[in-house]
Parts: sequence; structure tokens; C-alpha cells
Amino acid sequence: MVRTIALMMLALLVASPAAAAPSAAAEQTFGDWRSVTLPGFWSVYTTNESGSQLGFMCTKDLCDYYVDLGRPCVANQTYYVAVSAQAEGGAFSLICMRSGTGPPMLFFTPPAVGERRRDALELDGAIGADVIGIAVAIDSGFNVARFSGAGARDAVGWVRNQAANATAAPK
Amino acid sequence: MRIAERGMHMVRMILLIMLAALAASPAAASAATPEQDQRFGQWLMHGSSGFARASTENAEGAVLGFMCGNSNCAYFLYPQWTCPDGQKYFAVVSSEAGGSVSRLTCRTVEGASFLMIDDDHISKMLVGRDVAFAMPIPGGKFYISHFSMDGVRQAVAATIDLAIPAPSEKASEKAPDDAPPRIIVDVPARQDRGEGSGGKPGQ
Repeated sequence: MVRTIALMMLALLVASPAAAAPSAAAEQTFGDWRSVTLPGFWSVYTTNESGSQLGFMCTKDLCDYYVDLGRPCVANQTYYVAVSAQAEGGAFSLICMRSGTGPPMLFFTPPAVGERRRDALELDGAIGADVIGIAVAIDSGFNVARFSGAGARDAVGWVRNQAANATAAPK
Repeated sequence: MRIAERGMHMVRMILLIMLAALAASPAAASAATPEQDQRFGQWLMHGSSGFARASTENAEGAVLGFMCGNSNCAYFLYPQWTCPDGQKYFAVVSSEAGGSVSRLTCRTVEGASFLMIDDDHISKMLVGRDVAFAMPIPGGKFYISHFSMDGVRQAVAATIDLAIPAPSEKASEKAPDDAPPRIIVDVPARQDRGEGSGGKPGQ
């Protein structure tokens, strides 16, 4: 439940980066990836030519990759996705989460808070590729999107560092 | 859609390999009946008693099939590209039933590669109009194949019925304590086979 609530909060925050921008910290750019930062929340994302987004976000408690394919998904439903990178691929599950007034988005299903971030670590291996392909099983077929990996490794590292520094900082 | 001769040849080869690998019941082989062909929608069933397969070929020439021999059954893909024998892969599967992930093992026969589908839950995915498989290819790309599910339920049922005789049919040949057929995939209960259309073949 804690995980779900935390993810819902993340979804709310990331649903509309533009709207959040006025209160956000200065935007960072890492190649084709850029950041959105709010108090207690750090994210980076890249947008492809179709308008789909691949992103990574952290709070002080958890981090997760997400993908927004610009099409509806069924809230709380699990989807399956194949990921293709430079020389490796993986299969992951995604969960569709409603994001307030925004459309539901697909989050890579995370383990419970505090567990080893296995999925995230596996995706980390793919994130350094020049091109990151994602094929989500939808409607007896696949919704395929490709994203630039230029700057992704630095961007994700930056988010992790921000979250780690915030967690380590004295309160 | 007609199964190409080449595809048929390859399917026969893999059937032979599977038969050899699973050969544990010479009595069943000797009881083989004349070969039969039956079409069910976009699926073609071929075989004889003790050994049969059902398959469908898509527009790109890839084949999705189901085979039974010596009381064992398995689904397979013939993707038209080669892979190292024994190499493990995975595929994300998409159908009306939703999505799932299947494990695949490459089997190479005389230069032709087949991907044996290792999971028994694949049969639950073979419902609706189409099923699609996606396998990642390095460079952000995917190998994606779509196959028709028109006739799959009946074809799979017919394959099982032909390849694995009902216990009553074999009663006179078998000792009372003979082990039942070992099915390595989830197959329909005999009383449910071939009835209706569009249902789940694995239910």
C-alpha cells in the first residue's frame, strides 16, 4: 500500500511536468534527457518524435522507470513489455496507474519499498544504449516506441544522487 | 492461408527430432495409423496416431505450431532466422487474454532453427483473433510475429486426439498400471476438445 501511494504521488507529480515547472528547480539537461525537480521529487525523461516519454523518477524512498505511450491504459492493470537495447533485452511488467487529472501511465512494476531494485537495475543495463526500444503488449499486438539513450545514464545517475543526497542530509 | 512446402518440411523435421528425443514407447510408434490432414480455419493438422502437429503460417512465413509425440506435447515457433542450439530466449506474448512472458529454447535441425516454447501457460494466451510474439533484437528493435488464432482450439484438440489415443482406445494394449501420458503443456480436457469456437484452448 505504501508503495502504491508513493507511486501515485509520483504519477501525480510527473503527469504534467510543464504545469509543475513554475515551482521546479532549474532544469538540467543530459543529452536528450532533461530533468523535472520538485521538493522531495526528482525525475528525468526523454520524449521521442511521437510524443511518448520514457522517464526515471525518485523520491527519498523509491525510484522507478516509467513510460508514457500517449495512449490510454487500464488503471491498475498489469502490462508486459519487452525492452531492447544495444546488445541486451529484457522482459518486464508494468502497472498502469492513474495520475490525477492526467491519463493513466505505465510504471515499471517496482518491488516493495526497501527491496533490492532488481527491475530498475536490469533496466539500468539497457539505459546506456544509443537507442532504447520498448514494446508493450496491448490489444493482441504491440505498441512499440524507441527512445534516445543519449545522456540517459548520466541523467538517471543524477536523479539517484539527488535522492540519495536528500536522504542523507540532516533534517 | 496455405502452409508453404518449406514450412511443412521444416515442421516434419522438427517432429522427427522430437519423436527421436522422446522415443520411449516403441509400441505407440508401431501402432501408427495412416497420416491425416485436417484444416481448421487458418490451422492445419497433420499426423498419425502417436505423432501429430498443428500449425499456422503467417504472411512473413513464420510458423506457430503445436506438436505431440509419444504422449508429449509442446508449442513451437519457426521464426525463419537461425539461433544457436540450446540458446535460451524469452518472448512477450500479446493476445486477447492480455500479456505474458514465455521462455523459449532454440533447437536447430539441419540449419533450421525452431524455438520451443517452454511454458505451459502459452495455451491460455492462444485465444481471440490473433496472438503476437515480440522478442528484442539488439539496437532497440524487435522481432514481432502475428499469428491467426482462427481454428487453433480445434486444431490443437485434433492433434492431441490423434497423437494421444484416449485411455479406453489403448486399454487393450496397456497394462493397468501403465503411467498416463505426460503432457508438457497445458492441454484441453478431452471432453472439452473441439467444442465451440473462440474459447481458450488451454482451459
